[in-house]
Amino acid sequence: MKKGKVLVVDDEVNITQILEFSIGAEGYEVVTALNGEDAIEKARREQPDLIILDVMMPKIDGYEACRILKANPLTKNIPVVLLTAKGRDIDKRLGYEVGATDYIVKPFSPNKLVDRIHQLLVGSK
Amino acid sequence: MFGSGMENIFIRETGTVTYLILVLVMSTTCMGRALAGRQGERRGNGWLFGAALFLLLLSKVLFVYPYFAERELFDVIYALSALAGLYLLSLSAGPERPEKDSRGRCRQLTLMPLGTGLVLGGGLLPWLIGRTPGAGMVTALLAFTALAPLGSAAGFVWKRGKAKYRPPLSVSVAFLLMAGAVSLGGAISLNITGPDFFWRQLFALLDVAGLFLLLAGHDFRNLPEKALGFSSRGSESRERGGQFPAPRAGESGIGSRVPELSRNIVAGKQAQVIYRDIAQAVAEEAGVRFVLIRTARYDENRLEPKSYVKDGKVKAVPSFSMILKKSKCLHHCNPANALRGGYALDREALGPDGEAFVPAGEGWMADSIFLFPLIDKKTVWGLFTVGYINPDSPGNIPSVLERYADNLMEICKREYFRDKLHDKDKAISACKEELESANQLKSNFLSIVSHELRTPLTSIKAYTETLMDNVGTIKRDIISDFLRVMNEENERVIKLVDNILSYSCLETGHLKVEKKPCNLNRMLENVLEDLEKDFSERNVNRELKLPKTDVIMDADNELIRQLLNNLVSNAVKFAPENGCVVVSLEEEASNARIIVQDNGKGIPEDQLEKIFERFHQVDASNTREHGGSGLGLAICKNIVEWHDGHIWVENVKEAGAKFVVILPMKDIVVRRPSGSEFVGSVRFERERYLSLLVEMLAEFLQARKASIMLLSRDKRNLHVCAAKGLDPEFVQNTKLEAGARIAGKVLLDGESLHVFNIEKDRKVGRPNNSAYYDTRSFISVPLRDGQDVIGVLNVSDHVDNREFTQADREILESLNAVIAGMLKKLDAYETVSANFDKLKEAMKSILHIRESWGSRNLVNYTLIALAVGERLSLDEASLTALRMGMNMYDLGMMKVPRSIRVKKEALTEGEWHKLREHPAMGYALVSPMGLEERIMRIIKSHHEQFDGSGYPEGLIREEIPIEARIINVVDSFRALITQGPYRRCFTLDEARNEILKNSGIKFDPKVVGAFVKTLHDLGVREEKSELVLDAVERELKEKRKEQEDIEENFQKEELVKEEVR
Repeated sequence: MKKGKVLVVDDEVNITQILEFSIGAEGYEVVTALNGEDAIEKARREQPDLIILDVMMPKIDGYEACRILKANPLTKNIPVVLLTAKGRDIDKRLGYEVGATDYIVKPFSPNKLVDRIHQLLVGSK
Repeated sequence: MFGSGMENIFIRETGTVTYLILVLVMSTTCMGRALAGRQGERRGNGWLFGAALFLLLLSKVLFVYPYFAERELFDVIYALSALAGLYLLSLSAGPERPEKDSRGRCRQLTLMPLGTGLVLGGGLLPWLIGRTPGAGMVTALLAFTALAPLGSAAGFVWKRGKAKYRPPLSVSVAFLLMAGAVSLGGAISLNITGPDFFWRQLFALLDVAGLFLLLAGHDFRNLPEKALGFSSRGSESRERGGQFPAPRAGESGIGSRVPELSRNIVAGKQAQVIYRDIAQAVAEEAGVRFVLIRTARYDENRLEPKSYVKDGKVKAVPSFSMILKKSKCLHHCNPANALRGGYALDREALGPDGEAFVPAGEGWMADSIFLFPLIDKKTVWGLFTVGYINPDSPGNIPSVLERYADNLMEICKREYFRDKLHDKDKAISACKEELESANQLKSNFLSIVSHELRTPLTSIKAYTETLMDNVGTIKRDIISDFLRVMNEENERVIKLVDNILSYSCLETGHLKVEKKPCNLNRMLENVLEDLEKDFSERNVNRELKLPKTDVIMDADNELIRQLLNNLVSNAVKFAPENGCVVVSLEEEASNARIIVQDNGKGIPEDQLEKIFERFHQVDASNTREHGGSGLGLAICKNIVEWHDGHIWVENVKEAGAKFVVILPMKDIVVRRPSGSEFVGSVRFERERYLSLLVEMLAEFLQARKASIMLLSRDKRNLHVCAAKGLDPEFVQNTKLEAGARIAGKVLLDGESLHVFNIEKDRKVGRPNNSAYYDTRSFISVPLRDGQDVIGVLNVSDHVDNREFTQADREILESLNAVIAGMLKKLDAYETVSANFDKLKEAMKSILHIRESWGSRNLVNYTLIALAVGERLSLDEASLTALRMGMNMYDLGMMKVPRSIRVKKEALTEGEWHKLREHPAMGYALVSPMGLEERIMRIIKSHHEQFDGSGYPEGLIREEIPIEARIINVVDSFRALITQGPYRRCFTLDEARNEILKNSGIKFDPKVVGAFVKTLHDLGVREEKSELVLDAVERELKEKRKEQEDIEENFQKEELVKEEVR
């Protein structure tokens, strides 16, 4: 039985690929998206339990996508974990301001990310 | 009575009609001017003048129209009216009221008697003489005319008692000639109609001339003096010409508001308010209706209106502003030729600007304006303009204005410096902004770099960890997939780090550019091959356009490869799927042009320049889409600049961006002149200039090889002075005799040589020598400066590998004059610069002497020499020369090698010779300084000796300038008491005895006597091997004492005062 559904959003295929592998290996169902628009669309359609969202993306960036997700009643309750290379405090604060639940700085360890996902999903249930 | 034939009637009619037209035109103009110019003036001499003109003209109309009636009657009427006119004229503008133009010359006085004389000559005399014809008449009239200006001059001098305003000779002569010409012209043209008619017409013409002169003499533009309120001043004020008198001591007393205004200025009250107050105060006190204050804005080249008061009310400042350069007002108060004074001008003189604030009025001086410039230290700070003088209560305008001028100037200056401060502030804040944006750029750089580095590192870390955790369970093909990703990401990091490194190397200049021949054709092919994968991945087509011949230039191969690689891979990135990238290479005479073009969406126009800045992305998201660090183009720009080239980008009309790189060939060689003919900057400039000339030559002709050959000074040899595309060795060492080889022949023949095919040409007819010519066609033309052939211009190897055409030859021939002219300019520049360098050297040497002698010693010896000079009662000029001479006589010594100067052993013959040259060398050194010949002579002959045994000229006794004789003694004395290289130093007494011993042999006994006495008087002694002059010390001490006494007295007085209180 699947533990839950996770939407992974990053414009780097390599990242989505490895996350899909790692998270999938833990028994989650993984959906991927390569840009902000796609992510919003998929979040609405797939109703994931958790969204992992990269910040630096072309067109709609992570903050913007997060704001849109939180504004939509259909998706506003899905926890969002921001994933970014921007590690300064101000960036983090901005992340929380737009409604992100957690903030993971690149480069990250897949194991720890999976642990975090685990915590968040168990905690929310 | 009238003419004797039909033909005469015709001529007479024509003459009459012409004359009538002339009279009508003149009278209309004159009346119009008289009426307009004199309107409302109290004295009414305008009316008188107008009436005079009217009568004169009327009389002439009646006189010359012979069909009216009895001519005798009209003759009388004419003569009477002429007399009446003259009377009125004398009333209106007699010499009692001289009016002067702006330069102080009295035009009226010059011309009035002349005009009067002519009217007399034309009107009165013929009546008196009774029309007796004859050649004597003409002579008499001409003589009268000639006498008139001289008479006027004499009369004027007599009248004024002073010859200050004598009419200028040129004016007299000019009018004499004019009057003579009119008389003669009239006489000749009307002679044929019979004696009677001839005389009438002649007189009439003379009348016209006389009137004309009267008009010219009457200067409408000058304001009557009385109106300005000082006509009663008498002759004293008139002598200042057009200028108004400075206020007298009594009048310049403090005006009512001056102290108040000063206080306000000091208190920092608003400038606008102060301008207003000044304008109001002036209006009240000077009794004028309007006051306009303007200040000069030299940066904007205009007069800026500051305050305007009219009829006692403050009005909005008129919007017009006068352009400084064009302003007649300012011309009149040009500080170079004016003291601070005022100028009265009328509307006409002000030009259209005047109209704006001079409305018509009744009972006022309608068109009178008074300008008063504010001049301080030859700078015009501003301008008072006042007008509409109230005739009932005229104030003394100049003195009122003078009174307020200081206030106004002060506030002008305050504003000026405040503006300056403001500008500085602006500059500082602009600087600050620049700094902030630089800082912003830096943090952008950090954030982008950190992002760009983290992204691949993230992938690597994630994949590695996953692989490690699942090493047992993971499938083999997934492992290899993971490893591939890791490798790719690794590459990405490496590339980025490389880019950052090479960028910072290029930027900071820590880069060694190794220039080697670089084959651009080969290089482009290689780069495209290397990028093959990129092309095929993105499915982009490529097209490479190369010239037939290889383009080879000196460049850093690695850098050029990086440049091309960056540009092409950039183009591939931005080309659309299935798009196309076109790379082309073109050869131009002095450049290689590389163009890389894609058919993507192009670059926004406003970003065309910016994309070469580091970390500038057209759109931040583009980076993510296309990858890249934002450094690629910045690196390209740097590389191109390292090669002295240019790079830019433009949008192609259809689609896409076109990057253009221009790399200069750098194959220009300039021959270095042998020896140190030119030094430093001159040499650098010369090379730069010549290489530009050659480049121009090559560019115009599109030739790979070009050279400018010049004839040597002795006119025997030709050498290459600058060349493009030739071997440096060849350029440096080639010398052609006139007549030898092709260039030599061209030089001798003085004719151009254009060879289409070297192997088939009959004149040359030899196999091609590929060292000089890659193609078989060339042109050589003689370089001419006027008639002389001064060299040869050669071009060969057209870049298109074609032959040179007739058109090419014509271009070259027309370039000839340009190049000859430019070479001439270069010579002139070099001469000037060389002199300048010499001057610098002279000044350096002067300072150098002071260094090695010790400035204090030099001052003391100079004092001694001067005291000797005074004792010998030399004149002031001589003493000045002595003073200068003492400071620089040993200049040449600095040019003697140090090894000789300090040598301990006896000098060799050669070394002696060198040493003895130093006075002459000093002379040569100072010659560019343009010193007085007297000083130069001193420098040259300070080693001459009394008995003629000195050097360099071996002068004897009085032949040696007295100053040089003094310096010789002082210098010997100095040398004796100074530690010499090959002898011990003398004590002062020993040195003095030595000098005395040589008196009459080496030294002038007169000078020696004075010298010894001087030593005693000045109390010269030695202290710690430095010369001390007791006299000087004493004087200083006395002065100090005096000062102290004064101080003491002062303090005592203070104490007394204190006690009294």
